[in-house]
Formats: sequence, structure tokens, C-alpha cells
Amino acid sequence: MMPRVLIVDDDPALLEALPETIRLRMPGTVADTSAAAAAALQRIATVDYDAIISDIKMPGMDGLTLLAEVRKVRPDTPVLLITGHGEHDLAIRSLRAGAYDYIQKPIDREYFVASLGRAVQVRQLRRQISEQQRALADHAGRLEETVQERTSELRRTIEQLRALTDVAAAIHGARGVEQVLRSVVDAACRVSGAGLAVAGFYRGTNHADSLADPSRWSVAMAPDTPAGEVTQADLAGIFAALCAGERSPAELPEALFAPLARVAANGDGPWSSFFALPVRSREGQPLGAIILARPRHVFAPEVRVQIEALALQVAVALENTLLYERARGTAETLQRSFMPEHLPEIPGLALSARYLPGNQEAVGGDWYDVLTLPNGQIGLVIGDVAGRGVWAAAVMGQLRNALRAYALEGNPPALIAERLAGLVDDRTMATLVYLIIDPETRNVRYLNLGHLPPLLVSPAGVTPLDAGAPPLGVRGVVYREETVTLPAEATILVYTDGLLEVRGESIDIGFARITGVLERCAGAPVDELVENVLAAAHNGRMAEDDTALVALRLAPLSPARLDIRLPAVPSSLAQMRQALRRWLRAAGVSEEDGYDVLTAVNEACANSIEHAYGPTDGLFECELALRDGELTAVVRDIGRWRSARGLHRGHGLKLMEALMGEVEVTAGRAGTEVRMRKRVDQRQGVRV
Amino acid sequence: MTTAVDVRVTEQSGIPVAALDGEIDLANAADLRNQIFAMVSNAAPGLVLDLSGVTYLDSRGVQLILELAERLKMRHLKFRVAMPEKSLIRRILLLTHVDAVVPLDTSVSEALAMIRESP
Repeated sequence: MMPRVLIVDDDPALLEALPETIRLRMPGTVADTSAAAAAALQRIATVDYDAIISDIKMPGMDGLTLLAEVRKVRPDTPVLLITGHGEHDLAIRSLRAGAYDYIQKPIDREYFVASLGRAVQVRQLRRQISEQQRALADHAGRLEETVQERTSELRRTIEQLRALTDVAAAIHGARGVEQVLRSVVDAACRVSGAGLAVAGFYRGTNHADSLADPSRWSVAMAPDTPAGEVTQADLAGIFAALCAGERSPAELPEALFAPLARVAANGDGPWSSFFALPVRSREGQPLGAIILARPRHVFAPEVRVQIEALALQVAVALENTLLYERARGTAETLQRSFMPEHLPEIPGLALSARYLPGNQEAVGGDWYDVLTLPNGQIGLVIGDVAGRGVWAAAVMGQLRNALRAYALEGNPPALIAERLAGLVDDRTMATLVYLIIDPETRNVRYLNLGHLPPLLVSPAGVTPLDAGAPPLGVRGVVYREETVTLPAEATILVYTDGLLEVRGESIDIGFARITGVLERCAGAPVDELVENVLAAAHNGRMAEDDTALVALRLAPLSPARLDIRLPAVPSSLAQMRQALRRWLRAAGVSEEDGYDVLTAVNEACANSIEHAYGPTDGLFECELALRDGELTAVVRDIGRWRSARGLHRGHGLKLMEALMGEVEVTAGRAGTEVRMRKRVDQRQGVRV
Repeated sequence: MTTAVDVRVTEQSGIPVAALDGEIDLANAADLRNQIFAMVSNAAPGLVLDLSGVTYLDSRGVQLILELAERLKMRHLKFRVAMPEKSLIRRILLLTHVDAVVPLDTSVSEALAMIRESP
């Protein structure tokens, strides 16, 4: 840039001479002139001179005053003052006042040019430096701005990520549909600043009718209980439109959200701004939907992005929930299918059983079974496969079925244990107790494979049957059965660990708790006993673990009367004979007469069984009564209707008549009834 | 599930002896009949059915014995049933006149002797 200087002097001669000197000696430098300080100040205000040369002595404003003014407005502009010859004081004053240099009259042109040249150079250097400094400062300023901008962007992103991570953690930590939905609406409000959030979970197909079916949607809202009317059907309608996918959510008509606009939450509302989006599985199947509402301001684009990110998290959580529900459903169904639907009804045998699922996510491998063995004895099983879910339920099913098969072949407990041990692989660990109870002799043969001990409960006390072997899955065990005689009035109780375990407690406390209750209700009916034990064990809460328990008691038979009701299947005959023998013995009927009655009743029952439809359709019933030496036996078809029939086949009727003396067959509405009578010899001492 | 019954077949002096233990009723009679039919060869002179261990026998058991008798007769084989004199099931067999078709002996040795002695 071309240097530019200003010369201020009231002496016209100097005003002419100095510019001339500058023009000659400092080519390219522009020299302006001013005859008075006041006029010079005006120029200085508009032009940034590289140097100012001023006479000190001037009429009006003098040079020193001008210097002071220039220092104020142009502190960087060097000022050279012209002093009279010998005016040293003035020269020094001018330097102190901030002049760059002073020029004595008469002006030495060499000195003048050299001084002015330095001043201009310094000025230009300074200007350069300050420009660079300004540029640097500018740059630094911009840099800081950028850094701040980036930092806050980063911080926002981190906050969003953190919010989303929190949300993801909350959503994925949630168990079950209700919890997932609740965490979704809470998170959606937090992330978006919405005043109202609604989330729906959908179980169904892509079909429009199904989507609009309110019963297929589970819904959660935040805040929890907004005032105002919005029905499940209203919400299903909105959700269905969102999930139908015909239009993008942004294109949906405002009117669609009308049912929600009226809803008020925490004094907020009505809502005029909505943001909604469907939640889909990876395969694009509808899983649910999210709707957010605000009173006025629309949702900012970054909020929308966040909610979209949230929707992806929700999709994963809901998919997992669905899978989990299905898995649990499968395991539960599987497990249920292994529980006996009905306990066998065996005369003189009181049975009560319960199975209570625990509050754990997956079902366990607990099971129980009650079997009528071919010889009429009772097989009682309780077991527990370690682990949970479908796998445990499946292993349990295998063990249960294998045990059933071996037991029904009439095998002793030790042989069954040996065979089951051969079935399980190394990954399986299962405990079980198998007991064979002979109702006639009250003899119990049993084998405990690492399970909690069966309890013998009687009014005299509670005795655990402690003897046992290691659990199934432990190799190289030689099994040996134990025996015990069931005391009169005693109850056998078998159970799984859910009955004893309360979190944070030792199993001994659980034992002590149920022992007390068992002692108190030892004489109560088995159903009552079981209910009381359960109530005491769980204290009204849901147990951690699944709980299965079975109570069995041999009740004395009344010599006056016996009622038997069994499924009309061939295997029931042995059971019937078992019960009938016990009763005949209890009633003191002679062996020979007893055998006749047994055979005659068996014939009538076999006939009923042969006429039943299918393997499990019907039942038959035997009623026996004994009074003053006269025994009456009635056998009839019950349950499903069966056509009336004669008793013409084989030797059945012939035998009945020969054995009983009096046989009467009537065809009733529900089937056939056979009524038989016989005088029997009764042992002394049994009077009824 | 079938009613518990065991079948043991032994051969005594060239004659098969089928010993049954347990109870015979509707639930297992058909299965028993097939088992016994299968184990009698035409080369044998006859069969002894030992019911000493049978604690219960109903009309299906009776029918089983009668069918067995008929089948063995067609194959020209001798057939005898043994059980103790005081057995409770003997009464059932007498009541249904099984003794008119199949000779009842009181022991296996008696039955074997009768088969060997008869022409």
C-alpha cells in the first residue's frame, strides 16, 4: 500500500517545500497538507496516515495539542514535530508527549527524509503486525467458536446417546410386555419432551382387520392416568393406520389423532402437535407403535431422529418379549402336559397334589406322578430336573415317561433308577423320589435319588425318610431300595424345593416352618393339609421356584360300604380287585366267599369295560354294601352314554350267577346296571 | 398297561410246561394266549399249563384255556392243566365246566405222568 503522510503548518512556504522534498526523495509517498491543526484533525479522522508532520508553533491549536489529539484517535500513527532552532525544552516535551521525533528548523532535508522514512516504515510494520495480530485473533476467535460449536454438538450427541442408552437399558431390562411398554412411554417423554406418550404392543398378523382389533393391542400411556376419554378401540384405530404402512406417518391426516387430542395429562393438553411411528420387526412385521403429543410446538427434526432410534430399540425389545412369551408358553404347555390331569381315585387312598409355578421367568423341571401299578399298588413320583425353560421341561418329560413305562412294567425302584441313570446324559442333573405303596400291607418301598426327603406326617410328629442315593447324572451308583411301614393315619408328603426355599433363607428355616404346620394339621383331610402347608411355606407370596407337592394317606375302609369309580379300561380291573380285596378283608368276609364276590364283580366290571367307547370315554362304578351277612354289589356304566346291552357273551353271566346266587340286569338310561346279592360268612368280631 | 403276569416255559422230559404267575383278566388274556400259542411246537407230545402261581383268573382266563384246548386238539397234542387241589381258581374252572374239556391235575408231575402214560 502506498504510504501517505500529512503535513500541518501555518507557513505556506514550508507547506510547499516539504511535499516537494517528499515527492523527490520518497517516491510513491503521498503527501497531504493542512494549514491548521483543526482542519488536520478532520482529515486524520477519515484517513489513517502513515505519519503526521506538524509545526509546534501554530496559531489556534498548537502542535503539542494536535499531538495529544492524534494520540487519542490514532495512537499508532507516528507524529514528527517541527521545532524552532535551539528550542530543546520544547523538543523534549514533544518526545515525552509521545512524538516519534522532532525536526529542528532550519530543516535538514537529509534528516527529515530519514526520520520520516523510518516513521513510515515503523508505522507500516506496526500496521502489518497488528493486521496479522487481528487476523490471528480473528482466526483464534473463529477457532474457539468452532471448537465450542463442535464440543456442544458432541455433548448433545453424547447426551442423546446416553439418553438412548439409558432408554435401551430400561427397555431391555424390562420383563414382559407391560414393563417394556411402560419404560418406552417414560423414555419417549424424557427424550422428546412430549407431554403425552402412548405405546402399543401388537400380537397378530399384518391383516387390516387383525390390526384394528383392540384385543390384540397391549397399551401403556405416560403420564400413567391421563384424564379424558380414549378407548382401547380408538387407540387400536390409530395404531392400525400407523402399521398399515399405506402412508408414511407424516402423511397421516391430523384428524386421525382426534381421539387423543382431547386427553389431558397433568393439566396439559389439548394436544395439537403429534409425532407417531410404527414399530416393526426386522422382517417388517408390525410389532407396535409409538405416539407422542405436545400442546403446540412441533417436534424438532433431531427429536424425531431420536424417537426413530428409540423405535428400533423398542422393536428389538418387543421381538424378544414375543420370543420369550412363546418360549415360556411352549415350556409351560410342555410341562403342563406332563402333570396328571386327574389323580387316580383309589378307594381308601386319600390323595392331594398341587403344582404352583414360581415367579421366575422360565418354568422349571418339576413334576409329580401317581400311578396305579399292575398289581394294584400305588406308585408315587416326585422329581426335579435342574435348569429351566423348554430344555428342562423336555428332559423332565423324557424322565417322566421313561419312569412311567418302567414302573408300569412292575419293576422295583432300584431297577428303575438304574435304567433312568442309563438314559440321562452328562449335562443332566435330576433328583427324584419313587415310592411304591402297598395299600394292603401299608408297606412302602422307595428310592430317593438326591431329592428332598419324603416326610411321614402323623399326629405324633414329622419324620423325614432320609435314606437315599445321589441324584441322576452321577455315575457308578449302586441303587438299593429302602422300605418303611406306613403307620396308621400317617400321611406321606413329597415335594420339590419351592416349598422350602424363600430367598435369603436357609433350607432349615423352610423345614422348620412347614414341620410346625404339618404337626398341627396331621389329622386334617389331605386337601386341607396341603393348602395349609402351601400357605405357611409361601406366606401368601409367589415362590421363587416352582413348587410341586403330593400328599398321600391310606384311610381305613369302612366295613359297611365300598364305592369304587374307575375309567372303563381293562387296566382298571386290577385296581378294582385290589380295593375290593382290602375291603373284603376289612369286613371279615371269608376267603372263599370273598373270592366269589371278587370274581363276580370283576365279571360285571369287565363287561362294562368291553362296552365302553374308546379307551377313556366312560367310567364304571361299583357299590358294595354289607349288612347282617348279606352282601350287595352293584356295578353300573357311568359317564358317557352307552347303549343298553345284554350279558350274553362268554361265561361271564354264568359265572356271576353261579358265584352270587342272585343277579339282576337292568338297562338304564345311561347304560347297564348289574345288581348282585350273596349271603357271606363273616369272621367273628367284624360287625357292621 | 397290563395286569401283571409272568410266563415261564420249561421242558420236562421232552414236554413243554408253561407256568403262569399272577393274575389273568381282560387286560392280559389275549396277549397271554398269543404267547402260549407261539411257544408250543408240533413236535412236542403235548403241553402242561401250570396255574399254581395264578392268584386270579376271570372268565377271559377260562376262555383262554378253552381256546388253547381246542387249538392243541386240532394239532393232535395233549393238554393238561395243573393247580393245587385247594386253589381258589379251581372252583372257577369247575363252575365253568372247563374240566369237561381239559383234564385238571393237582400238580405238574401228575400232569406230565398222565401225558407220558396215555397212548
